[in-house]
Amino acid sequence: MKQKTTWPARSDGSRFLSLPLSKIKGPKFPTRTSTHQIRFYDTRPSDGHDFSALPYDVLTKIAASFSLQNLRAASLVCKSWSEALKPLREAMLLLHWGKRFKHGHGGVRPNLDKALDSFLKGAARGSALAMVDAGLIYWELGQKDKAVALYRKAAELGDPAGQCNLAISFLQAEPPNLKEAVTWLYQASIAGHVRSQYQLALCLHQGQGVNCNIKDAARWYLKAAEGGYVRAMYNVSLCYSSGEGLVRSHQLARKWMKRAADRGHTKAQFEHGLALFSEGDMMKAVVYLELATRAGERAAAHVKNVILQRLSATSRDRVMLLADNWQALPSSR
Amino acid sequence: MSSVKKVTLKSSDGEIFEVEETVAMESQTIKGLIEDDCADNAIPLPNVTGHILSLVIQYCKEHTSSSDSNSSKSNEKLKAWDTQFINVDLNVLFDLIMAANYLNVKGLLDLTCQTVADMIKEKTPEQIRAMFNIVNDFTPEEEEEVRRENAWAFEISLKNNNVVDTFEVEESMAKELQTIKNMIEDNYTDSVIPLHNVTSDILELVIEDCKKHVEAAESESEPSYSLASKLIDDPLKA
Repeated sequence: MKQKTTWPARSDGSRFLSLPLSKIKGPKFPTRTSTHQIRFYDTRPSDGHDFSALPYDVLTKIAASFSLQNLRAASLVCKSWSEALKPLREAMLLLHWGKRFKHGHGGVRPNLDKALDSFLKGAARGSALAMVDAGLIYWELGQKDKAVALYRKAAELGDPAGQCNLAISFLQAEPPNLKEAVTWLYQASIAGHVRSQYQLALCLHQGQGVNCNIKDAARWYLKAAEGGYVRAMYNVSLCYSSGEGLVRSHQLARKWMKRAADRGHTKAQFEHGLALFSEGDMMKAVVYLELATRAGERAAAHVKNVILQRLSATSRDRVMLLADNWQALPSSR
Repeated sequence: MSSVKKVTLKSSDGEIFEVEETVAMESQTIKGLIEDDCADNAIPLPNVTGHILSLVIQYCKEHTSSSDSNSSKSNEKLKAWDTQFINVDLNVLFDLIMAANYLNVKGLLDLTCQTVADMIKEKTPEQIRAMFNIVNDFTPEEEEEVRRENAWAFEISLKNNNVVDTFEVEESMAKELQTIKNMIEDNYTDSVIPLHNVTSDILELVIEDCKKHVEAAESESEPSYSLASKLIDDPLKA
């Protein structure tokens, strides 16, 4: 999926008011996906409002967390934009090299120092993506202050990953800075960052840094779940089955539990296995219970053994084969 | 409590605005002037019209009063307010960016830049130009150069020492040269790798040969050994 969200990327309501059709003179831009907004213009920029004359530092700020594709497109708009965005293009190259050094592919030996060096150079040229990657290395190396400083820079440039990492560093700080964490989680969540949405939901659920609000928490769990975040899927299922924050629905609870189970969530595999058992689907039930057992869920082992005793030897073998060949469906990290 | 301190701001077209000091200080520029004691009379803002200044003040007011609340409602409410606020035509958006930049109002600059960024994302250059009414001032050659520069990720330039003949080569080919491979891995910061011992003609031949080897390697596992390859690891002679 290109966009993981199924709702408007930045806010809940329609972002732009549509003008009555009679006022529209300018071109209409079709949306590519349902998540893009249609903006109707009654005027295009006129004299004295020359977007090609935006100051270079403003353009750098605008493009700071662009993907390579977007950066390329912006660079081809006009000469001044191309000139302004040159440092960011260089930063992309440095980001590319940094990733290679970090993971050691492309014929290059893994080298964390060189990776960090590349990322820092990219960060110096204004790339929010490079800032986040540099921060990640500093964090790994235990230099948390430096990591946080970089996350902050990226966050202030509007990069959702930077905002998420900054928020998490506040949550984990001694003592935790919950209010600021939540502020940043909001920004990233509204921008569609799935992990942030899950973290925000947790804060709302536990009343950390923000007033406890189960309904809003459930809403954000659901968004994160729809965005592919597995732990959110599990929590959504719990909300549906208990009626907490969401209208109670056994059917939706089962649906989300299965989704989480299929993506490797151990507890979900256990719960789903139990549910299948109670519905009489022995074979499927025991496969999920076996998966949960292998992942360390001890309670699953007991139930699993009870069912296995009822099965024939061939069925038992088949179950093991299915469990051996099982692969988790893709999900967002 | 003492009465609220106010400052007076004067727009480029002569409009006067009386604003609470705390609100005005959302602008780092104005804050600096106040702290330097230059704010006793009206502060002239020659780069901002009255219309735009009133919008900026509106933004600052909304954002000073909301800094304390702790409920999820207020965070989301503020975001909704921002969304509504920034729903303006592109002329106004442009003026707001320039004003936010000049007055150094961080939140407003972030908001306006993010808005423009979202408008640019996932669009082709033609669509971006159409949207912002920007003229394409590239010549076809210049445009081609930018496109090629953008393909740099897999290219590095090899430069002869005496004559500046740069050859842009695909990285996989350059790696055929062990020497260069090591240079890349150790010190990639130079985008142009100078080769002191090699003249252009020889370099051209070597590159041609590398090309063939890479193509051969792609079609079979063992590249065939040839005379040219033997030269690669020896010091190249002119």
